[in-house]
Amino acid sequence: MSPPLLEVRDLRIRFFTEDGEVRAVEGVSFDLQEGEILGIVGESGCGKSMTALSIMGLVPEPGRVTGGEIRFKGRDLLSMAPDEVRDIRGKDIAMIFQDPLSSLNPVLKTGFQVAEPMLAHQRADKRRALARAVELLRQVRVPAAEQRARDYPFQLSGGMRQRAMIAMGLANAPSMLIADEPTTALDVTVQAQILDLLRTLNRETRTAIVLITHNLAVVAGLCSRVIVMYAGQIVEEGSVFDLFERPQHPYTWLLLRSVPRLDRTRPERLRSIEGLPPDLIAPPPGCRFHPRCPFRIEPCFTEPPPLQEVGPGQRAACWVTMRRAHEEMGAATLLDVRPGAGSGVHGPIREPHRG
Amino acid sequence: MRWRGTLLYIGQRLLLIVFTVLAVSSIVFIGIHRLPGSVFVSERLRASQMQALLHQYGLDRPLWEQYRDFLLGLLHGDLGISYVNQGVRISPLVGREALVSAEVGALALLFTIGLGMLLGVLAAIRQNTWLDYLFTSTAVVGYSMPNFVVATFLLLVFAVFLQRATGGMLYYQIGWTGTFGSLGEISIPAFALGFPYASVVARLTRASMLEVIRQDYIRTARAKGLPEQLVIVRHALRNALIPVITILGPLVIGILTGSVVIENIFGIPGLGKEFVQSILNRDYNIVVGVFTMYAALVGIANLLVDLLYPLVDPRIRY
Amino acid sequence: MGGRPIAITTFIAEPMAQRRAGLWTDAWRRLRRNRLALVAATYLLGLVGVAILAVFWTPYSTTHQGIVLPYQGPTPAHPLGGDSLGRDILSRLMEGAQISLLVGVGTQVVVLALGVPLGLLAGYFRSWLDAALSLLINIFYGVPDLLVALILIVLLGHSGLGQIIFAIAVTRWMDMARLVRGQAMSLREREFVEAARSCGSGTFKILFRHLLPNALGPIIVQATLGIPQAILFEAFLSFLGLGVQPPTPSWGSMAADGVQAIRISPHIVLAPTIALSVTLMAFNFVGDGLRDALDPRQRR
Repeated sequence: MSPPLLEVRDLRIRFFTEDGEVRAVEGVSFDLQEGEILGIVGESGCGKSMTALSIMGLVPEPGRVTGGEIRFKGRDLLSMAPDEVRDIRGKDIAMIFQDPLSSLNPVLKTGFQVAEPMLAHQRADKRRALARAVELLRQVRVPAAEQRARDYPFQLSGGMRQRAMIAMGLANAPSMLIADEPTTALDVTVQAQILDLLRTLNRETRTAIVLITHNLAVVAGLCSRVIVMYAGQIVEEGSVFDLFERPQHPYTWLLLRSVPRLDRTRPERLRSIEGLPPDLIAPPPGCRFHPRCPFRIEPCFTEPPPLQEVGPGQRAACWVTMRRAHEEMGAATLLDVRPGAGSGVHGPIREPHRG
Repeated sequence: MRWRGTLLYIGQRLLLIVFTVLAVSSIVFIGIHRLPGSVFVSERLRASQMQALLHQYGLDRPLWEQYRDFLLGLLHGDLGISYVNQGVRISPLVGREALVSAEVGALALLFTIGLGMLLGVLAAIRQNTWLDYLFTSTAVVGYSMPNFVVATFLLLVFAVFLQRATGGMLYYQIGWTGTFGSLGEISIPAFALGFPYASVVARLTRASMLEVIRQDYIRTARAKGLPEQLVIVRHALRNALIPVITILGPLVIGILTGSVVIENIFGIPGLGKEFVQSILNRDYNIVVGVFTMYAALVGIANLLVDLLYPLVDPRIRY
Repeated sequence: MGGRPIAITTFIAEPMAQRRAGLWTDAWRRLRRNRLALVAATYLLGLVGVAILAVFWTPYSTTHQGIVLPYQGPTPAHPLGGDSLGRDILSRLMEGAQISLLVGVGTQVVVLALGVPLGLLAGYFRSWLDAALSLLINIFYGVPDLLVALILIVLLGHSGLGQIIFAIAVTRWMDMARLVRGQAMSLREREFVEAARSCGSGTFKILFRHLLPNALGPIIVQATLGIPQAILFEAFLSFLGLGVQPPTPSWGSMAADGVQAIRISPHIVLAPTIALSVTLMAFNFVGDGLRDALDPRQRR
């Protein structure tokens, strides 16, 4: 396999607030292969957006990357001069944001905003960049692209705006696109169209996509690999299929149970995850999920679990999973924890023991 | 037809201005002409001479007749003649003076906006540094300083100390040489006129800039890899301008008001000087004329400001 | 009020009163932390003291000429020197403080008396009164206020302090009316007003017992910030020779005298202009401090 496009190693981000240091991201490591679509899921505040912004070098005040490496095509972005990072930003790595209305400048014409990355990186003359912007808008299926390019963002519909954002991201044919909740602010039907567009773009241009979302359905439909984050850390990582069929971390499992599914034969009760995400100024000792975990065992209270291989291409950070795996036949075993599947790490859920 | 709405809007506004000018000048005219006594009281005249003068100016006729003639004159742009400087026609006089005032006012407005926005933006992008604190506290001081105090300090510096320091080689000469003055002559009064308002603009710009810098579209602009200067100038500044534009109207009125004082200090032959002079001389026809002119100036300035809005904020259309 | 709705109103009014007391103590605590506002307030208290003192005593006569040599610079006996007619500047500055404060506070009294009832009525009843008030306010906003004041001074016949105060108040009342109108409009929809109305409270009582106390914070801030504006206006008028008539000293007219003599003796102009600027600044600081203290939501 060729070397990964992006390697994140032991990334740490802290926010230095008046109330104390918020450990927003702690020890996050992952790879992104060329042309891959990677999903990062988790509740809001779990550090997924900050991870993405740190790749762009755009962590907002009072936050700072305090450790780790982000290697893009082998070069560490964190040790580069600001101008070098700026050169990569919007050219090799592009990013699109959650709310296309607030993310587009209200006083500049849409076409110009789409053309701007080209003007910034290619020394293209304005007329040609604008013509190319219209082409890009057409490519992301904006109808009457020429007219829309002359409109201001407030004159476009929500879906059109997000398409324009995507066109803007694609302007310099980046090798990597970060999409931070690209569909959250949109209507359901428009959501599907945008996801479809991203999928097509990935197939046609081989642009790798990092998709950040709290929506598991979006991940299931689009991604090949998924990272689940909780309280600033990766708790589970694996292929979409494995993760959905054999979640190995209780958080993933609970997350999946909180979403209604149509492909289940037996009716299940939807359950929300009890409790609240922890305070990241003083995170709980041991596993950060243990205060909310129905399966917690002794080491969970004191020892932070390492992220370990629990199957081919699947890793999880959970003492329960690991103990169960050892008890049965060794770490390499694939374990089916589907509720009702009869076997698996957690087995059929009865009364979770509390204590 | 993009311009149709705009033209219609301008037409309506002009009509409103005419109406306001008529109303304002009528109130002032009637108010003043009901005052007991007249211009000529101070001149020691015999009763018959007084009667002759009053008759000459038509002041012995009933008020409504005088008012009718005034209105008819006003509609033709004729504001009558001066009582004191006998025979001087008022319309060309105040017309010229209005231009002088507008000249100084326009430069003051330029100072106000240019200086105010520059300081505001610098303070915002260097938030919580000594530069920010310096500018912010200067703005508070400037805001509390009446323009004639600023004028006084400028005079002390440029007219008094500069003269002493250079042995009379280089200094600011109070007074006005031509009708319109040279750039050097108008720049100091314009600065005095604009400085207190520049503080207001600086405060507002700083606040609005800090607001804008936190917006998502600024993050987008950075994500495109734009150089920071472009992010500030192209993306932040234009949006920060929007709230500043909304206070332009009051600003213009403030500058016109301030010009009354400034013109008297610097001896500028504008509307403001004429206004005070004619009040002190009881040359009431000129008082009415100047006030009419002011009402028109304010109306037109406000209209111009309103026409600026859509240029800065495309979401506004008329 | 007939029958027995009293029990209910007290039931509603009590937590209200408690909350209000909490609001004021909170505000006071916040204000005490604002050192700039405290320094400014101390200065203003001192100024009030000086102004009161000037009623009974000034170092020299404020109107007698030739107490000092004309254009005399500062000396130990006359720390601020003498003006162009040989009057003691310090004494005149003290009496000028009195004029400034009288005009500043007097104007705000008129403004309050005019703006608060009009605003309350317009905001509470809407209807034609509101329409008329809004129209009037808009007309006033369209005309330069100093010019209106000047014209009024002319129309009122040249001027005593009362006329000056009236003329300034006429150009300043609409800010207050607009503010109170807005407050009344939002407060009238609130539950406790609803409750008072359903308990049969009279309109007058609702306006002044329920609406007004709850709008008091912004009104105080507005009135405080209105004082320096009025002082500034008086200074403008006097500077132009259309305000307080000589020989009564006003900071504005003293500054005008000083500008005449700026080449000969700059100290004449410095004393009144500095006193005026510092006073205006102090009022602005106190006003801003009060705003921050009374309405913490507006703070950044």
